Amino acid sequence: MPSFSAYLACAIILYIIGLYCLVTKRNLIRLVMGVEILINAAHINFIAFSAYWVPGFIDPLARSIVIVSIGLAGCFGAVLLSFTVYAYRHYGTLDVRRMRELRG
Amino acid sequence: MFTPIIDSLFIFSIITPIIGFFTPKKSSCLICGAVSAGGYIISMAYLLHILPQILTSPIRIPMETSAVSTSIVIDVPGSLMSLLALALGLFATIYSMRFMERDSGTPLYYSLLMAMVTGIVGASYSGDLFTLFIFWELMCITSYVLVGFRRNVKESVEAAIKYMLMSGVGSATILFGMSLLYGLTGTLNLPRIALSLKAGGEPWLYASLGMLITGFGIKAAIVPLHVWVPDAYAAAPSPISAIIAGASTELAVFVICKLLFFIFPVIKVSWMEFFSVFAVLNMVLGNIVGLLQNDVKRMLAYSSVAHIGYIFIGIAAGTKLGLTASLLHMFNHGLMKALAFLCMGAIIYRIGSRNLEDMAGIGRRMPITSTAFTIAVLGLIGMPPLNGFISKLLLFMSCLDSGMLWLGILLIIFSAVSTGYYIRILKALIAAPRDERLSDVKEAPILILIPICCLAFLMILLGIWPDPILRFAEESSSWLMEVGRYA
Repeated sequence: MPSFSAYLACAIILYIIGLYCLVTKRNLIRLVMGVEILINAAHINFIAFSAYWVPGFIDPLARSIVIVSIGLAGCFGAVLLSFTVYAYRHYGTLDVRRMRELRG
Repeated sequence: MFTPIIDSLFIFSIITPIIGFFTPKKSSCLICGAVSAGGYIISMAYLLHILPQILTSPIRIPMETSAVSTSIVIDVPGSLMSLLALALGLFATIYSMRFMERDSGTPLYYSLLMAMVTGIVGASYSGDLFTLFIFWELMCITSYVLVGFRRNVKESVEAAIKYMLMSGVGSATILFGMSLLYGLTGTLNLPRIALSLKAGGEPWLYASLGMLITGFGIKAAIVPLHVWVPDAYAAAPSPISAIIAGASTELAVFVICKLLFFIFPVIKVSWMEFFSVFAVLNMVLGNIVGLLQNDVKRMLAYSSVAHIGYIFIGIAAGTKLGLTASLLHMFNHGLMKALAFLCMGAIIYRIGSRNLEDMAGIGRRMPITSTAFTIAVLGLIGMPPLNGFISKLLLFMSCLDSGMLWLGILLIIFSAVSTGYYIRILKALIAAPRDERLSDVKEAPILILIPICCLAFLMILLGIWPDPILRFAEESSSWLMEVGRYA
């Protein structure tokens, strides 16, 4: 069984992968995946910490926050993907760098 | 379920679209607006009813505090924030009854608006990080949909996508920071975290603090993270801009205050300099870029960034006076910015343009709206008889109090700089009409004028008689600074 710090390292690596995806990718659907990876990094962290404090006991609080948060991440993905459909109808592309109607 | 304040909002946000389904399409905007306004009034009446009881001791739901149970704590600081959110929600709903009549799907619009206010109220009352996160996400996800509500307009879809991508990263970062804090203490309850963090600053505590401030700072428009603000405010319908600028950004600043004074007093020394840097950055960027804008809603968005900078001055001072000034300016800025966006929305409703040049001479045609807009702009500058003056004065005094005179002087200098673009709005309002296009413009309809007049009246009232709200803010800051009173 891997040690506790392996889980923490895994979460941090996932977080960095998510940020890398958000910075370098241009396709909107890939950006949705990037945000979901970021959220999942936090979930792994919660689950790892839930078994850390008392040996042999798993804290139900962390489990419940992860389950609720998976639902919220699903809502987020649904809303962002539906806006992606509208963006495709307006612009004819999914490339975020070509959506320049508003000047920053 | 929770407390009547949140319950009535929940129930009305569910029944509003059901009623909208059974009413004819022509009148559904008016009827659903009236129904959901009833929900805000019930919730606000109950809050005002239990306010004397809250002032003596906070109400806990559920009553027992075990490490596992999540809780809502109805306390004084949360009441200040939720009073602002409920008032702005009520005004935005009444305003939308005419403003949104040309759009389709208005029953769902009211439902989403109400869910967003529920999120703000719930997050300001949350007693642990779990509840805070759920209500925070409720507010975020509904606000994404509301910003992109006019889905057939190109720029509103684009603004919603920009907003969602930034804010989604913020939510994930908040969750990661919370998980680190949970790993350090083994609980998510705020007073318990405060008690078990007394040991001192480990490196993971700093990482968690940084992640939480980054995550909430995206919503609060701290300067390197403010990119979504002008786009989202400009592209959203005006009542939505008003409530995002007036309540949702304020909630983010409020949560930062709460976390800093609640959880992290252990590392107080290092965050004072940190926040004074953010305050200066926000003031510089907001005011300088604001000068270059021609679109009035973008101008107001940059002025919002600058005002977040003013609020951070009080946090940087770190004293009780500073926190009082910050909370007061938060409340006052919510009222002022909401009034400015609502007036701008009334002008857009009549002339259909956000450009400063197009609204030259509008003061002759829409006298009541223009007077209210003038009051809002003078309040944002900080003119003496209005409420913006009181809170800016307190912010300056808190700088003197904690020996940061340079920050106070910068506050005055940048208030003077900001006058540059506010004066342009005033000049456009009082100028003589240039073209024939404005000659058939009438005053805004009565349902739009009611919330505008109420907010303008509140601003003048709190300017000449600031005593009740000042004592409210003082009481809030004393609750936030003494964690022991919650335990």
